[in-house]
Amino acid sequence: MSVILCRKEKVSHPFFIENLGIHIYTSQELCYAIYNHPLLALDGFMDRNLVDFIREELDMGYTALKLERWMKGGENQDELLFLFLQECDYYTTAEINRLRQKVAALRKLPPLEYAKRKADYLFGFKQYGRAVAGYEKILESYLAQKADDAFLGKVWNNLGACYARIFQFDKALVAYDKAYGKLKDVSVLERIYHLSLMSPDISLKERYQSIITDEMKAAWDEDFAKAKKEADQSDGIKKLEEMFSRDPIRRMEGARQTLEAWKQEYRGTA
Amino acid sequence: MEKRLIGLDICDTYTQVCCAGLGEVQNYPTVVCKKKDEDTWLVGQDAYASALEGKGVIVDKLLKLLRKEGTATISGVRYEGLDLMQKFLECVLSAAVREADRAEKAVNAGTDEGNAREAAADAKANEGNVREAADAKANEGNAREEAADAVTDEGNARGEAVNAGTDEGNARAEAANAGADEGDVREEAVSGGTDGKLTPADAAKNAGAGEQIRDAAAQAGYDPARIARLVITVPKISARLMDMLVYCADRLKISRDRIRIISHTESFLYYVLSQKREVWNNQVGMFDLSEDFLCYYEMKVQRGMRQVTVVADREKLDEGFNLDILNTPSGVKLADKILCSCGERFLQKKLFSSIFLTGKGFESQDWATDFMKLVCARRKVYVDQALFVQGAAYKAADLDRNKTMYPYVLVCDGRLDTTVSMKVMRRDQEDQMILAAAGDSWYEARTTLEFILDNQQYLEFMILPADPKRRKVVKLILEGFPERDDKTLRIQLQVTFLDENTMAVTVKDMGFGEFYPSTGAVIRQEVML
Repeated sequence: MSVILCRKEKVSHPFFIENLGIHIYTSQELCYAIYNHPLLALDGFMDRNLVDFIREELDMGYTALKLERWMKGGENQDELLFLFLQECDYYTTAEINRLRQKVAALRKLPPLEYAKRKADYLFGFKQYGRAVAGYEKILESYLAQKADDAFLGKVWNNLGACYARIFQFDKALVAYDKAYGKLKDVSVLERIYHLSLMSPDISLKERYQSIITDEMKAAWDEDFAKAKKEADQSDGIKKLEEMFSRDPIRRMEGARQTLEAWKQEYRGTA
Repeated sequence: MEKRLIGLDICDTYTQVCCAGLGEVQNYPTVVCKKKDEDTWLVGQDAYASALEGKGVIVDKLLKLLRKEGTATISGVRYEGLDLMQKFLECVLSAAVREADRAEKAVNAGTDEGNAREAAADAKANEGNVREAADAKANEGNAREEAADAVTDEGNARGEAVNAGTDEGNARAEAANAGADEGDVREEAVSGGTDGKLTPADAAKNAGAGEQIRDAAAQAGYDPARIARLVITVPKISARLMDMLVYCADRLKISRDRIRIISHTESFLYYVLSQKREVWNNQVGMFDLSEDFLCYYEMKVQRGMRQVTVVADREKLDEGFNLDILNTPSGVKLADKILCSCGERFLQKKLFSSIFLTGKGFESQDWATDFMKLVCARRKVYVDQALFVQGAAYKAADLDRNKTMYPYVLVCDGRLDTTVSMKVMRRDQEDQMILAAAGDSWYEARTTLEFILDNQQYLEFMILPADPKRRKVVKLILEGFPERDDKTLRIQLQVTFLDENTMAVTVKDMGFGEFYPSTGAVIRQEVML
């Protein structure tokens, strides 16, 4: 338990972290992002743009200079993050050491596993476009040929989920199809079945129809109906309904804001 | 044109003003008069004269009017205390600037006065001597005794060593009496209300006041750009009075960085600390005998701390008496007895370097024979009728320097006697963050900081008065604040003071960027120091 004094930072142009889809206004927020999302902060996160932000907006010229020198030195780039955290005095030395261990553990992961975790992380932050790129890179890698089916099946499954989230159902079906081929898991079949319910153009392949029993169909239909009902009563829908019940001027203003938000979200997922 | 550093002492009955190092101290009754049927405002003698002739309406007790946010109606127009104080100060400040210009011109032109200054300087005399000489010439009747002691320094000369019992002291006391007979501005018996009633006797007394403002044309000479610093001293500090004086300064176009408002106690400190060190080596006492009250001031220097601390206190005594009793022999006896009793109470068993006497009651000390014997025993005694205004002017001059000449922690009325701090983590170690330090002006002490709370939903303030037994920790629980991940509860803490004993704390949830938007939670609490 303690209290930390914050530096006075007058940021007029916040730094946008694309992977997280958020703007950073203070050095504490930047530290927090690095500390809590190390997977997203590794591999080139601390680049020239960020160093410029640190120098000009956070007014940490000396720290920026140290970071630049380290970058030019060609040393371990992960150290840049620790150096910045130390300079900000937001995390204690013990906490920074814990992060150091976490990063070291990540770096020890097999390359494909590391790449998958990173893509999963992006998926968790609704960065579907970037997650798709991550999964596809894994599958295209020459190392993938040596990977076991279970691993590849999970990658295909997650890729299918990404496509489904961005309404590219055809591509999602292909990915789930591959995932089922590797995993032989009924839960993948369930997703394929739900895809067919969401998109009338998609029909179940014959080989699946023979596997899926009527009982299974009934249970999945029930789940689908339940999910649809929940979606109809979600906060987002309620807000929309409320917005359309307003007078025309306020409705249009609300619609404009919602559309803007959706556009931003879509750009983030692309 | 030179900018001036001005000290201003405002009381309900009198106002004194001077520029640091230049010109005379000017005295005015704290009244303002508006001429009927024209927008002309008068102060000083002309104000009384105009009112007596029935040409104007006078308003007195301007400070009280300002403090109570009162109003006065003149010729059917309702004026706020602030309006009247503004008019009054415009006149007084422009007169002070003119007086400084005149003095500077005289020195530069090699006039008699200038030569006298030079001669006095050659003779190791001080500015006070010059002022006294000027006083005598001008017959202004200020009760400030001349600094006759040629070897005393500038400061000592302002409050001359009376040292009763020595020939020198007696001579000085006589000089003081002689100088007082024309009546100080403070002799004005201003009518009790704000209706401007004035008796001929009052007006007669007012003759001999300092420079008078003749007409509106003279007032038009007010130029805020000529005022580099203005330090106003008032008997007792209160937030409302300070607010009103600051508003008044705003109206006078004196920016807030150029104005300070201090108590008489602080003026007393600045005045005494501007004297030779031997004057304040040990304790210093002061009696202020005014028409309205009798006050005792005491100052002591605490050495051996990280920084030398100078503590001063003011006590308004119940024994205060009306100065009219000095008009009868029995009254004089009683007054002397009262002062002796106070003197014995405060001065016994303490080691004083010096005692100061100020206020209208001490324009002459002849009536207080026993008291003078008592105070003059084994210590130097100084009398100065313009002590507070000069203290203010010293402060004004000090504010204008890059480095203070008073590198002490000053603890007195208007300043905090307690340090308030918080524990914070810095480079993995616990440290104390000082929010307000003893010696800070409580009116000006405003701290706004942002903190991150790491796994705690409260704040702890360390209250650290000089007396270690009174030290305490005050815990402020942040009820209604969100519980977030570690290190994402960012708060803004604002600390201000309502008076020297009450700290007002405001805590706001600032959110944590786009990770956690602010909930808008706010807590306001007063903490007794």
